[in-house]
Amino acid sequence: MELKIDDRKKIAFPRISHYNYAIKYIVEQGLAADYVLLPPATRKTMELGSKYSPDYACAPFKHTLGSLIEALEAGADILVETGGLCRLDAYGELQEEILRELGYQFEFINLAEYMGQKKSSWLKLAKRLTPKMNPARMFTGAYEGVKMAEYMDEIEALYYQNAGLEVQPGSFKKVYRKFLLQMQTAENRREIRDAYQNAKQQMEDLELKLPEHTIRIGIVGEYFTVMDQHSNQFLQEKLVGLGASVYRFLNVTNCHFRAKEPALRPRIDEYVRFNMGTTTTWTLNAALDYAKQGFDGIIHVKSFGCTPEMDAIPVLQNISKDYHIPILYLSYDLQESDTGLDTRLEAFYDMLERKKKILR
Amino acid sequence: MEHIHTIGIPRGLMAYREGILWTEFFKQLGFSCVLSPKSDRSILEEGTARAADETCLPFKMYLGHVQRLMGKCDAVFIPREGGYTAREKMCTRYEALPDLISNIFRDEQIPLLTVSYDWYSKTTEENVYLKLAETLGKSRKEGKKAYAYAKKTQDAWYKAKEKRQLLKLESPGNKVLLAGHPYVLHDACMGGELGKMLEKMGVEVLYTDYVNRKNARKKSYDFSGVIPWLINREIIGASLLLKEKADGIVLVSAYPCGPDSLAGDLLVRRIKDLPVLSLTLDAQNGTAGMETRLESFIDIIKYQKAGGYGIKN
Repeated sequence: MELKIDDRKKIAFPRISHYNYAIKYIVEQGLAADYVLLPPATRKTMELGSKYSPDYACAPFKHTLGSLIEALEAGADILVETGGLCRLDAYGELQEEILRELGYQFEFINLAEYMGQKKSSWLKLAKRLTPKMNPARMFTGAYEGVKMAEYMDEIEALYYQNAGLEVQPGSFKKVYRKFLLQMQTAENRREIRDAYQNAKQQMEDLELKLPEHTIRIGIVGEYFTVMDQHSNQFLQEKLVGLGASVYRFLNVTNCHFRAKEPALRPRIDEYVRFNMGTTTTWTLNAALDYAKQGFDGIIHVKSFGCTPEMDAIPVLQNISKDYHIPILYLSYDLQESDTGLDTRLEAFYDMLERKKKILR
Repeated sequence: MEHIHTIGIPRGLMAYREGILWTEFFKQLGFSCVLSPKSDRSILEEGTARAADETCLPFKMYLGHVQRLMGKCDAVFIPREGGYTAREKMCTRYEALPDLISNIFRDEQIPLLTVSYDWYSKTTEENVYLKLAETLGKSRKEGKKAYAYAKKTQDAWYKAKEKRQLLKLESPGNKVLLAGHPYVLHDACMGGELGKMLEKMGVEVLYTDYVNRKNARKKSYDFSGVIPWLINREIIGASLLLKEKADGIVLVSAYPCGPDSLAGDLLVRRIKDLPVLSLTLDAQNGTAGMETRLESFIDIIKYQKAGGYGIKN
């Protein structure tokens, strides 16, 4: 039996890494609407997504479609899909078509239609979501949600950089998990800020054992797969488990709120003259940075068939040659098991370790 | 750039759409042009050896063509075509093209000539080519004249193709529409063979890029407001325009084409009243498999026309 506590429509967005907490915050605090927060993705999400997707759609398409189906089954009334500069722009339209063919009833908001439009059409969209919208509240909510995303990125970076070097096993994880839980439940600016301050302080207080040769690995690659742990089979967590210090430049903060493409491109001009599309400049800039800083290795992550990242590979190969830095190329589709990944990562890590010892 | 006399043009990708514009433009400015030979297996193999393993078939072929031009020209023309408007872009590989070629062929040190535009740079085709003439050391006037002539020649070529296709539409026989990117449909090693096979079976072959492309683009907005790719818009629009006249559509795509994977699927889902065969080409050696699939598709069309599946609704 359906019990209606209130008549607000429930909004859902596909899973992407930890950012759903920030999206939830913006929807609930800014728009005063309901948000369906999905539990972590499982194998079933993948299976659902790939079952109804075209053969060689990229893996993020399948992951997000799986998320949307699960959201509908969890009671969402309004689905939101975003647009972008690559195939992502066409995700929404096809996903809506697929879901309608499956017989679901829902409202669909394809942000691709709003991108590049005037502010007034975005305001109209917000009004559609919450008829009694309060602009001041909306902007504050959006601002605080963005802040939350930035904090989450910062704490995540701290975690992956240091957790591999902790003295007490699990000490970083404990702080990080608590922080994420606080972000999930945060309802105002104060809660966000306090949780961030606590987490950062605690992480900095934790004892590290700095070995003689720390293996530092930089992660670069395609937007969705590189950020979403479930899509990349917990790549960074696995590297931390091996004892590496893991860096990743690409996150929402650096991609959308800070580094601008034209500002980054001059740094890679020995390899590239033009904007090669989507996040390729971010990938190349980060890779070159890691190479110049003397990192031990780079891992390039993408989903199978991702065109912009595929086009980064010839340049990465040149960087690898010029700076003598090993690069491991990982291409993800929907894998059943992660044993293959484990083996490759162990071999890569061992190679980096040996290289470091011999060269010294 | 005084040392450039001969400009190499790889016979691949957009050369099948704008090749005449390019060659005429350079010729008018007083340069000579070399076109790489027609595609064949050995060109594909040379290209494949250079490419990252997941890249699409047409791009591998393109690399082979660039390779063939080595030593035969003073500069290779590699345009960077992002698209002129936000809903009529090219796939991101076109944005990366000059940088890709210069990185893949780094050791050869070949000079590249390029035009570059993006949908956000708000420019026109004429401006883009005037700039190119400038980098070649020609005056604005010369550039303007060369562009106007080249554009006219290219348009006339397309007009002739459109006219011939209109005549075909009136023929009483079975008509099949080959839908796909021009550089897949007309490449001797990819779609070219499909056309030949169909003609051997006694079928009239229509092509999506020989439909009036402006009308096709306009029509595609009825189908979808958000699809971002120019060529896919033309494919979709042309398919819709010819839906009544054609007896079947063969959707040809090269593995693994990003735009086709989504836009093609959407088209197949929405065209319900016409048989559609979705063919994906990859670097296979034999053509027997393709032939069987085409034959059975033609059989289906004939059977339907004879009323075998009941009245067409």
